[in-house]
Amino acid sequence: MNSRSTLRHIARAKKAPAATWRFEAVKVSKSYGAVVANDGVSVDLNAGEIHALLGENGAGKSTIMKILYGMELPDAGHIAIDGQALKIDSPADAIAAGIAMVHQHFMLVPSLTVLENLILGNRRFGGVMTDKRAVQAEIAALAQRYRIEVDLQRPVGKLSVGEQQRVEILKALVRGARILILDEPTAVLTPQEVKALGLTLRELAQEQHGIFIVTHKLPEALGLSDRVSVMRRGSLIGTWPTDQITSAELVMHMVGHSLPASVSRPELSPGSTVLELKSTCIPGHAGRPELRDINLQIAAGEIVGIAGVEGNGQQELAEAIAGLRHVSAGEVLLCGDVITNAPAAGIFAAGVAHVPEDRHRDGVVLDFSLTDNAILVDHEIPAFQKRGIIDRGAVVRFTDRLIDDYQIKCSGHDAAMRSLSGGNQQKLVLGRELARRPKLLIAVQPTRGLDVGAIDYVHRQLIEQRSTGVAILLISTELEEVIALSDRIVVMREGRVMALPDKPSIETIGAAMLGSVGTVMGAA
Amino acid sequence: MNANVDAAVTDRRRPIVLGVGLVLASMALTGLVLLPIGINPIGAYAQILKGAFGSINALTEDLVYATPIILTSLSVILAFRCGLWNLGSDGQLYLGAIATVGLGFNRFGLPGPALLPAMAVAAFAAGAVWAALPAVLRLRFGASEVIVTIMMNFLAVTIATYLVGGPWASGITPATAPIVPDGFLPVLMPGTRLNANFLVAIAAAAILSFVLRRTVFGYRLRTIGQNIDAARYAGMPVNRIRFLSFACAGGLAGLAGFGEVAGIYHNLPNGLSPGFGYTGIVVALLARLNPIWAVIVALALAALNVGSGGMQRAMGIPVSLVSIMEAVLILLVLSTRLLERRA
Amino acid sequence: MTLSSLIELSFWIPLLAAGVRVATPLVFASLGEAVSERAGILNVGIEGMMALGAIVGFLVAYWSGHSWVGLLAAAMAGLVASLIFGFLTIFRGADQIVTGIVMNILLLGLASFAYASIFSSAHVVAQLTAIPVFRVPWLSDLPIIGRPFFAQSPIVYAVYLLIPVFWLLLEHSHWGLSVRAAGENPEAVDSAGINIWYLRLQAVSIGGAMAGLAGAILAVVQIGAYVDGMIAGRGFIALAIVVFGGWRPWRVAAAALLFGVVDAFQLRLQVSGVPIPSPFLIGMPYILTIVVVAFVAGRAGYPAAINKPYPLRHFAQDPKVDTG
Repeated sequence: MNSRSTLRHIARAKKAPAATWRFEAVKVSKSYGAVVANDGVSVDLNAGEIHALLGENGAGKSTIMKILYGMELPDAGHIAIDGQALKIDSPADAIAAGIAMVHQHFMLVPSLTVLENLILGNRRFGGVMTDKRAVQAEIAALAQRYRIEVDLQRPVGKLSVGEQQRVEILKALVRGARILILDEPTAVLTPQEVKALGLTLRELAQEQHGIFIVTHKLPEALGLSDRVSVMRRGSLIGTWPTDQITSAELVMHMVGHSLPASVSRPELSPGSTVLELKSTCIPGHAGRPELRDINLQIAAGEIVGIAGVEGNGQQELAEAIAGLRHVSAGEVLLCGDVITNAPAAGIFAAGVAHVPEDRHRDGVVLDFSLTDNAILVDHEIPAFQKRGIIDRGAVVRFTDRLIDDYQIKCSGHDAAMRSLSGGNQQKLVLGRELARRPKLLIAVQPTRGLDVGAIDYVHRQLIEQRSTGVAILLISTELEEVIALSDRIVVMREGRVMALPDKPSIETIGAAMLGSVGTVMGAA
Repeated sequence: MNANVDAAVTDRRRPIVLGVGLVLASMALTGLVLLPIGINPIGAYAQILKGAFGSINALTEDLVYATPIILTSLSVILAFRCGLWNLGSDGQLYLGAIATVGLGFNRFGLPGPALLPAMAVAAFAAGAVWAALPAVLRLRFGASEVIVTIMMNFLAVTIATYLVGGPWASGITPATAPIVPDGFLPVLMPGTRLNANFLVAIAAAAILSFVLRRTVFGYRLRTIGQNIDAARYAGMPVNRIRFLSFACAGGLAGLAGFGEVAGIYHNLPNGLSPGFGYTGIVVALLARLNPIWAVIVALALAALNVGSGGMQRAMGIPVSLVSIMEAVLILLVLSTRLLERRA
Repeated sequence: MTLSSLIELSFWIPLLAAGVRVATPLVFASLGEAVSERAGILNVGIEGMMALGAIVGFLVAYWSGHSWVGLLAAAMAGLVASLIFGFLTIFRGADQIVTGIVMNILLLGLASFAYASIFSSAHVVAQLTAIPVFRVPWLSDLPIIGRPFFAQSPIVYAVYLLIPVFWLLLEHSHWGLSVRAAGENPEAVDSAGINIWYLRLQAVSIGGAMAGLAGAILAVVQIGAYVDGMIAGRGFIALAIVVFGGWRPWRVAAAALLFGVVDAFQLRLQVSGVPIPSPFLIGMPYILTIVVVAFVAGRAGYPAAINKPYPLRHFAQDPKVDTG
């Protein structure tokens, strides 16, 4: 098609071209069964512009981007360049049209080198056999032009998250992309890495590339873009130049009303120590970090928040406390009793509740009913079984009570877990864990993937539990959440826990995440 | 949500209609294989029906054939339900048979009434041990139980052949020496081969169904099979449960061997199992891993196999036609995505 | 054969020669399966495909009078079988292990049925004339390795060519790069604009064709006849060889040679009248397989995406299907 070759022609030009172009999606609609993901969405992008697409989880922004990249087909509407319709039926079509996507979960093969990942599927480096040396020089030059630093010979699996993202962007440029779509690019970056990304994006915009950023994070959307659009429940609410709209207005558009007042945390004096980690060491494996010399205390009625970008050992720490991961040295104490390396079932019975990070994988069984999920941890207690045989009546009554107490929207206790929304699933998990009246609650990313209403609900539940004397360990990558809920904040970085001064600011926390501030917490 | 309810209702009818259609399609496709050798498929199928249902004896033979494949299919189901592949039920059957025969003509001074139960226990234990090795290798070392159990099948047959031809030879038939009469399973219908192991098989299916649906052990097993990560995170002793299940699965297959020796042949012959293990896998898949359905599917496939014997006698068509039909049916089912693991 | 003869070269050289011969079908099957698994498709059905290749190769060679025509037909038969397997697992999301097992039942049944139907009335077991050994000039006179490696049937020399070809294909071609990526991160391959479904189908077809060839080599070149149950687990042993060889062509071939030598060794022991009970001898290859699989399993890693069907795009949206 003519318009496709126009963009490619621009892409192949060695000098920054003077021609500008306009890329747009016109009245795109897409439904999955009964769910309307996109309803007549129209967005556009000009050369040299960074356009942020804002919306909370489930608003439909990922869908429209997948359609632009050919990973989904729209039910209605079309895509056009400079007014001429474009047929994008697959990623191959998108690539040929000069569109590239940098996914939230990187599309890189860890066992292959950076160079091999860049060559993958790239027709430009033609022929049957791969000629790595020739290609290497060409790519190195390209990387230099955009000031992207990367070692082409390293296996991708050994790169840091920020470096992998750079490889993804370079991959897009190697394919001659004019348009880049970035899906939640800042989810895995520290605040400083976000700044570095911003610089790279500006560099690209200078060279007349166009960039879409899809995100649910308001401050970053504002900080990185020239224009911002908001999506809500499948519709595009509006598009504004970034310098002409305020944060509060954007929030109104995103949720349709102003945010509820953030949860208030009543002043409490913490009780006795519930959880204590003394010089705990947890060995790393398969590329996961090793945790050394961890010291931590949480008192009854206290929320301790661990901030930090994913992959610094938070999950390992939570698992070790719950008895799901081996502790090689040091001690874990629950109300003074040693529980280091005790079997998980015993630790749960002793009063520990664990809301895991990956709900679908670790927290629930999607193909089971709600009743079967409700007793996942507690199936052995005398209330639910006699001599090895499950008391179905008791289990059903328990599940019905959970549904009632937590207002879980479902078709009944026999509903399949799969049929519930993310928020309702999390309500069941939380409800089931809290029904056990734990002394310690470990909540890992408890609001991930939830809409604003559900997030608010979870926050209120956590505060309420705190008031009844439960000790809570909150692990989250959402800094606002950690700051709002926690009585004390620590940062995890590369397997160590860093204490922070009282009431730290985002900058302080961010700096601690990078290692330039904060003291390693020593033995009490 | 209303659209989904309507869809669910019609969905319930769809699989049954589709299932019947698939059976017919597989019969038609398999029939194609007969055309090149000049045989009318309709005639062949008619012979199968006659062979399966044409006489009282045929009917009892259907139940006789069904007995071991009910047990091997339960063996496969028990393992599959916690996410492990037991392809070794044939070998476990042979080990059960070997233990049965060994105790059956040696008897080790056991009093009369105690011999039969002792043989059953020994068969169960032998099958369990034969399954325990692949289980340990998988759970401890991550070794593929697919490969190991199949290797164990070949080893089991080799051992059985050696015993039949060597130390335990009867000297007359290609089988071992016979077991003493105290070790014979009681016959359910005089004049036929239908013996008490059929009742054992039915009971095993009922027990397995109860355990899976109503007990704590069964709940844990199902959870492991559906989502092993969630099972671990809930503190379940995953490896212990999987090991016990796999060993019991081997025991069930061992009981199939017990039945063949103590109920039918009263010795251990060469070629004891004409693929009971693999038929058990077919049954387990078609029954969607449900023990009660397994009994019904096993009866159907048993009739098919018995009938094909009649077809071979009458028309000279090899009985391997039936394996082809079973496999084609499952492949057709797979192509329509009807086969999914269910809790 | 006495213990002292074990240290004499006159024992080892013929043993190595026999080992190379026994290993040849295993190398074919394993090389093909290695490619298939690198792309993310585990084909447990190669046992059945080998049986299919054996019967088809035998029948076609018997009727046409030419062995190589039989081999070609067997490769095509294996290819067709693997297309069915590939269709179900790649385009219908069927579990690879279940489908592979069912393919085995189907193909073993078909092979047995075909042979019994066609030769049931024959009084003589059908036989093929053996392909003569070809001694490579000069190379076959080398000490120690000359006879085992260069005085073999021509099909063995084909293996020497195949191994570097497969190596080049996997490690140094664009197609091979895509295959290696497909087995580790299929999404990356898809988003790079490659049709990953057809790519995987190509890989599994190679596996099937090679398995068919392997079975035919056994029946046509080595034994000269078809017998029910002649594959005797070689297809599964090939699965273990692929793991043992770390999915790399040279190492897979070396692993296959090891198995070949062990099998040849136990055959010699059987013939020699050594007082070891037959299960230990006949069982040697199977026991070796178990040991290998247990020993390597912890260290080696299957390609990350094995047995994980990559969901089809633009397919009629089924709300029950979890597109993950």
